[in-house]
Amino acid sequence: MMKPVEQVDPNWAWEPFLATAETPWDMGAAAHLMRRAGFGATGEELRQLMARNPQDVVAELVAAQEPESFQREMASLVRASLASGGPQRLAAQWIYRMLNTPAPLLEKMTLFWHGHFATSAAKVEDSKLMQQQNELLREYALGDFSQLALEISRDPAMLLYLDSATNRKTHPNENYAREIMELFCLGEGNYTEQDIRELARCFTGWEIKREKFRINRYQQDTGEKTVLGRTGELSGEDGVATVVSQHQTARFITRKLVRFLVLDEPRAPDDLIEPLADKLREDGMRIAPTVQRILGSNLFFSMSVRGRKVRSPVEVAIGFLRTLNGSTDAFRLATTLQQLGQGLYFPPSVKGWDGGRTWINSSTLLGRSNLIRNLLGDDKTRFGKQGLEQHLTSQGARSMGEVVAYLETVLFAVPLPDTARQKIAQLADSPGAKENRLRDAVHLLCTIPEFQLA
Amino acid sequence: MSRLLFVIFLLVHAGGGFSIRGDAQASEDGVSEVAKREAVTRDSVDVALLPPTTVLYAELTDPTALISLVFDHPLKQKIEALEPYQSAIQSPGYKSFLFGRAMVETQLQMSWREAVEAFLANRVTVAFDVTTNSPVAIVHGKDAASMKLFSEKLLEFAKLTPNADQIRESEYRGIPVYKIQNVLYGVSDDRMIITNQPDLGREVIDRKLDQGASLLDNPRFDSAWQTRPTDALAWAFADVEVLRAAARKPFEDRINNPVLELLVGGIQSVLAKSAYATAALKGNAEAVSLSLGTPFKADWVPEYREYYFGVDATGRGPAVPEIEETLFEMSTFRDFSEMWLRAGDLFNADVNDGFAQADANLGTLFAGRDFGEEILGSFESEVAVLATRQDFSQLLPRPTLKLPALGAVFQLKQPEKMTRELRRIFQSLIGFLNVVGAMNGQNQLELDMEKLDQNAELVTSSFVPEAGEEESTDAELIFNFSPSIGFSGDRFVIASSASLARELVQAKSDGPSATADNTNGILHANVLQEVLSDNREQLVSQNMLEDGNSREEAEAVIGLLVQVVGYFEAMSIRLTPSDDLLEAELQVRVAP
Repeated sequence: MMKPVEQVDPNWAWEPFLATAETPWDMGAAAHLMRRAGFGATGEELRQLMARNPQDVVAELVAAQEPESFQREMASLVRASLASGGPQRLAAQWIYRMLNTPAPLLEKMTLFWHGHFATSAAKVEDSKLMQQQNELLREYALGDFSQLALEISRDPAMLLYLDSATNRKTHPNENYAREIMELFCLGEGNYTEQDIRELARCFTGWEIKREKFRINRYQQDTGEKTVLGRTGELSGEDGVATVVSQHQTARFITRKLVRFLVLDEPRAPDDLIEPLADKLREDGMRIAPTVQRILGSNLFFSMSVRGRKVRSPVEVAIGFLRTLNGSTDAFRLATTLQQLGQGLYFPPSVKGWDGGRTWINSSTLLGRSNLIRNLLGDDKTRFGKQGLEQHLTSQGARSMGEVVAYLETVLFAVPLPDTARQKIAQLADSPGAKENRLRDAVHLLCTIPEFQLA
Repeated sequence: MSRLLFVIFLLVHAGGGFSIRGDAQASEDGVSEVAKREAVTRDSVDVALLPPTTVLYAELTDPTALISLVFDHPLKQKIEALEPYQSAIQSPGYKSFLFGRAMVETQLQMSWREAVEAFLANRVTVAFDVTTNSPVAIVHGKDAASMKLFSEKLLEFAKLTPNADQIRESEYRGIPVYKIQNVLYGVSDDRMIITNQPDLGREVIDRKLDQGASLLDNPRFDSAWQTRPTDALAWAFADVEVLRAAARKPFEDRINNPVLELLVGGIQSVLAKSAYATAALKGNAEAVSLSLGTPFKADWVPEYREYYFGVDATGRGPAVPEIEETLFEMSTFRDFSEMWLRAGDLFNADVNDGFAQADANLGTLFAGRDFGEEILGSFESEVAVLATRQDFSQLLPRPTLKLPALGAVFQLKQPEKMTRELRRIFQSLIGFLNVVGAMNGQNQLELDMEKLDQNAELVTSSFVPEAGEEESTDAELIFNFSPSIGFSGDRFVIASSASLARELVQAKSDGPSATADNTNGILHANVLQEVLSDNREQLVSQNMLEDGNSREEAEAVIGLLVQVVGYFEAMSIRLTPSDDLLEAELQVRVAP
């Protein structure tokens, strides 16, 4: 019996997951983990995961690092993208990275922070700075949030985006002070306008000159300030530390992580969030232990939260390709993602992407269907370096029935409706090459509402 | 053989009053005339089957030679030795193709090449008739028996397809005619006639059996036919006069695109008057060329386009200075000043608005000088443009993407006056760029001057790297550029790099100062190969992102590209007006 999230016992919720007859550690559970902690996995990868203990799998996902050879390869793509074009080219290399990374959770969390510390190239107009920020987010994606908050507060792209490239003691710029409290750490209602003014004074003298952060000591307000109850001759670093050290920051970040990794709605009750927030503080605001706790928990694997997230456009596209071991034209995909509302390096506002149900409307549903159709129809799209038919055969899916069963396991978070199965069965008897019929079948499956859920 | 005997006959029977040289000349002329007549008669038999209202005509003049050129070319062996080719022939698709080919060979009882050579033995003609608004093809094969065999086998294969029930068989004047879907074909002796229009097919057969007025009676075709090179592999004709008259819209002389105008504006004017156009494909183991030609008279070009060919079409491009590692060179005649000042005649109001705006902006940029009159007008109309590979091995900062340097050589009308003017304008321009660059946080340019000798000097500028980035090996794109100008007597040089400017200023001007062409461009494949190799990492990355390839796959693709480019020597293009002909030629030369 599935319990509504509001009624879940917080102590049970974050306990390490123990497989039961009701919630076994099976292909479905492994696929769920890989969808949320990454961008999906092939059937073969899922079978390998199933042979292991789920806690070990989660620990390995959290600890996974990109090998040096992969980092070198990506650095080369970044160099090429920076040398030959604007942020759209950067988006293509990030897509390539998401498709090929051996550390998918790291990349997923980088995407999370990109939405959290949203900065758009549309305003920054400097690919190099955007990429520097992207690398900063990746470096701290599972690291120390206190340090990440400090680094992002000095990040040239962020400060340019928030019109905070200059901050003089006679005219403190309140933009960044407001956003760090409202959007990055505390949330609305957890600070006062006076706190914003005082924090802005801490940031005086912080400037971006010739694309680099510097402190202009002549413009620093060295006087006494009071921020969130802490009084002293606070510097910018002190200001960030003060904000991050609030217990509300741990709650705010934990809630966002739960929403990103576990469920869009309903809103998790405070008493469900509190134990995780406490642990985050105990862990010195290190993100990795909290993420590991969430991904390895009873609640995460419970049926109550399966399919309770709406896939973002990036999750649709990258998830589709990774699940089918696919590769494609990353430039074209970057453009399509932008059209679908999730342009990488181009979040819509400082609030990032709203996510959840806002991803879906009649227009975006059609766009998502076209995205899959275009991926399937693009002659640059390959599945395991071969055709779809060969790839599915290599995964043991030969007949149309086997194909549907396989795709249901790897691609879907919830069971397929019978109507979809019937439509696919009709395709099995239609004329034409098998490859084309399979592509039609996959496209058909990816147009049903259930596919939009993760 | 008969031609050789005829030569010997003439040599033996020549009158003794002629000198040896005179004898040989007379014999050669005699052979040439007779042989030409024979060739014209032999060549025109298929043309004689086409209606006089044919507006487009193309022929594979010597299919056997063309097949031999493609399949016996030394390049084919090189391509077959490539790893991707070897992989491709192992693919299931290629194996299916081989299986199909073997089936055809068994059916025809000859190898596929023998079959193709027999089928296409004498000529392939394709034409479009304006009266019936339809195309027709005449395949002139080896002999009647071969064509009958091909016709039968074609029918048998058609009967194996799912549309077998749609095949229709009829007869016209004793010739069996088959209709497969919308295509009709019939064989008469050694020719197969293919069309989608029964009337046109019947016309061709009637003409074969009864003769009558044909395309040869079209005076425009006849004129074009006389210019047809005897060594062409393929030749084509377009009846421009009829096409122009048949066009739904009146022929528009204006192009309304300044770049296109510069490239083809003059040609546009010629085509507005010309009666026909021809194309000829020639080739051998060393090169393949495509020549396009049309009748030409200098007075066909209106006064407002005089900038293109010059007065009486006498404008010729200058000799291009010889610079090492030249990737691309172009020599052209264009009076840019005249074109700029005549923009009102050449373009519509929208384009002219753009010109007016550009004129105002450029006036500011060029220190208040009138851009069309005083800046462009200070140069002669002969211009040489070059792109050369840049060697960054000893240079820092080294850009990630290594672009070729670009330079242009002009001749000053008044060097003693304009040298000072242009030097000052360039210095102002660099200052202006620095101000704009500083506002946008971009690197600054540093000016320098260098006296090379009594008559030669350089004014260079180079980007100053940020502190700590002086020795960068993945610097920004701008480090490809060090904009410079140079003077040597009446020669004015402008280049994207100081080193190219220096070389162009110092280049010796040996040989004739002008070419025989209005425009002449050459792309050197060996340097292109080096430029691609310089940017190999960039190209690999681009391929990974664009094709979703792994690094190994992308390296193989780019390696192949670089290798294939190395199989070629150069690609050239030229535009040459003469007294009565305007000719454009595109040539690709294979590396020895």
